[in-house]
Amino acid sequence: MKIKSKYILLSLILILFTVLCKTSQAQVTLNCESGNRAIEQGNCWGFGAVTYSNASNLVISGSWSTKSNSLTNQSPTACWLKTPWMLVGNGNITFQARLDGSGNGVQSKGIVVSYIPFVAGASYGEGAAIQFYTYSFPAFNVTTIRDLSIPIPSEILNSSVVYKFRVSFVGQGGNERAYADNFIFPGTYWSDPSSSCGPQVVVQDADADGVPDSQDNYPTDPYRAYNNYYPSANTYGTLAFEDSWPHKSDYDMNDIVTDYRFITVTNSNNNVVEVIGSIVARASGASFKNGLGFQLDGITPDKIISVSGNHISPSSFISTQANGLEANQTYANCIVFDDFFAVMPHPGSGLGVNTSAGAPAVPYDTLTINIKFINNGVPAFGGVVPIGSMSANSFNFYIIANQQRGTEIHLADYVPTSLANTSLFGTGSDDSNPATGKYYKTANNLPWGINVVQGFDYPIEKSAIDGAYLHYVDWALSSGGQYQNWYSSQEGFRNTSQIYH
Amino acid sequence: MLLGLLMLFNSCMKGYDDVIPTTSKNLKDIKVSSSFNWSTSKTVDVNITGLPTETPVISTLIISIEDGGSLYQESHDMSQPKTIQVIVPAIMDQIKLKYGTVEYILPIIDNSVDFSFVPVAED
Repeated sequence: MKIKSKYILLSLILILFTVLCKTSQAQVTLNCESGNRAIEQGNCWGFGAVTYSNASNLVISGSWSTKSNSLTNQSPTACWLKTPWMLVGNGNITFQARLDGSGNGVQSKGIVVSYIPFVAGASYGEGAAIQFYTYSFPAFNVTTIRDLSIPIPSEILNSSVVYKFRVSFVGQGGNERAYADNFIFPGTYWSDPSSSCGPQVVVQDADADGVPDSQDNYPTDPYRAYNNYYPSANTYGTLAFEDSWPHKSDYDMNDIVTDYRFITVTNSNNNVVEVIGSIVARASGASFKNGLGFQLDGITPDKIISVSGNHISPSSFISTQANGLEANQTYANCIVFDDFFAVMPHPGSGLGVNTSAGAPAVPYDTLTINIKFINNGVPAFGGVVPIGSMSANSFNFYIIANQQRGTEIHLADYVPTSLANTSLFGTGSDDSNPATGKYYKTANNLPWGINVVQGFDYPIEKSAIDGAYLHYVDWALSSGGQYQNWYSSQEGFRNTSQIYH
Repeated sequence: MLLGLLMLFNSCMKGYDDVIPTTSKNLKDIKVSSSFNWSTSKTVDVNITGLPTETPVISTLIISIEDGGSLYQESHDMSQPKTIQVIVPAIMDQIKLKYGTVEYILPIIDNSVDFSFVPVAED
């Protein structure tokens, strides 16, 4: 008996499942329970003189229903709601509607339903509406909830092209308003809210990484998708340092001058694949053999597979680990070059390179650094780095003075690396105080390095930056509030005789 | 005549001492605020409010500056809230945000940009 009962139960379940499969289909629905038609508008529904109401005595179900303006116009374009673009299924459109009973009799209140074809180039893509159903509210029991069930026209059943449906509320005379709710339109939602609510289109995605080719910076590379630039795709920033730290400098800000632009390449999962740094060595008004590096704050070395493109001599004072990062560091450190003059040799006259007026100019040298985080879809041992974990603020630039590894000089208030000689803090003119987060500034809060993200023409040798840029001090004294473009070439901002050309 | 010139020179020197301003604008003499970081850029928080969607909507979000220079791109679910940090030149007062095919120009207010995928309801 028990076995027979089990068979009966299983049979019933199978029958029920079969019936459900045959009768259930995609639907586009509206029940207003968001309480905010802006959300539905964001999902490509349209409303014309129709809002949402939560009047407890008039709402049809739930907490909210649609409410029309007073129905005083017989035109179906006066008071309406429209579906998003949809592929029409088969069956009936259903919804519930009532009047609010505020009028003096019904006086020709009704509902008109139309379908709207897609026409490329038309306003909102909407072709002429085709009316296929009308309903007139009975003159009696006007506030009774009416259940409407409207067959979809045969010509658009199971469509392979998109349509909208428009439900219009019409009337003549009086103040009667219509409430409606629980809309069900058989079919499949086919609008694209990210494309001005046009119909969804079949996208080309040659590398099948989920990013359409039109949006993919690497349309044929499944492991790469986006370029994130610092400072920007159209600019190089300039780093300018003094190498005298912790002692005072002459403030000509040209002991190391390099331009930079970084591209952080991410994949379709928004994880960092690689960082490509373009570093342009421009000048060094120094006798020291200075190096340049940067730390990726917060990124541990095990997140990186390899580093290439940097310039470190075989007998360098810099120790590197197997992946090319500097060894013995808590965070990832890339030494771009260990000796500026190995990258840009002295021209034979003048002090340094490209800072002495009249000395031979040395062409700039560009190093292309590649820091690889994921190789052909396989991350480094330490796992992936989401792009959100590595903003442009993560780039912590510094120079290494005269090949003394511990004497590293950062931009103002950037933390030292693990290899910095912190016993130099508070000596000479340095007023660093790690407890307060003050680093690499004097007692008067002057820095030894600056980062001009829009690019910068540096002073000639021994010309202090405030003599070359006439509003540099104004900018500093205002804490950056005034003369934010102090570096620009506009009239009255520069003493060009003190700027290297 | 030479003596006269010397006297004139001394007189000029004395006058020069008298007119040295009491508030120097020489970089070596100034003291700036301890909170000033000498940066020509600023960090901007772009705060995004999501839109509940009927079906998953995932497209590319791009943040760029006025000259079109792209800063940031990601694949973004339209329904998800998010805060993205970008660095822009300190002088800039607006950014561009593009999602899918639609572009918006948004003001930077107090180093912050607020953007919502939920539109303003309209007829």
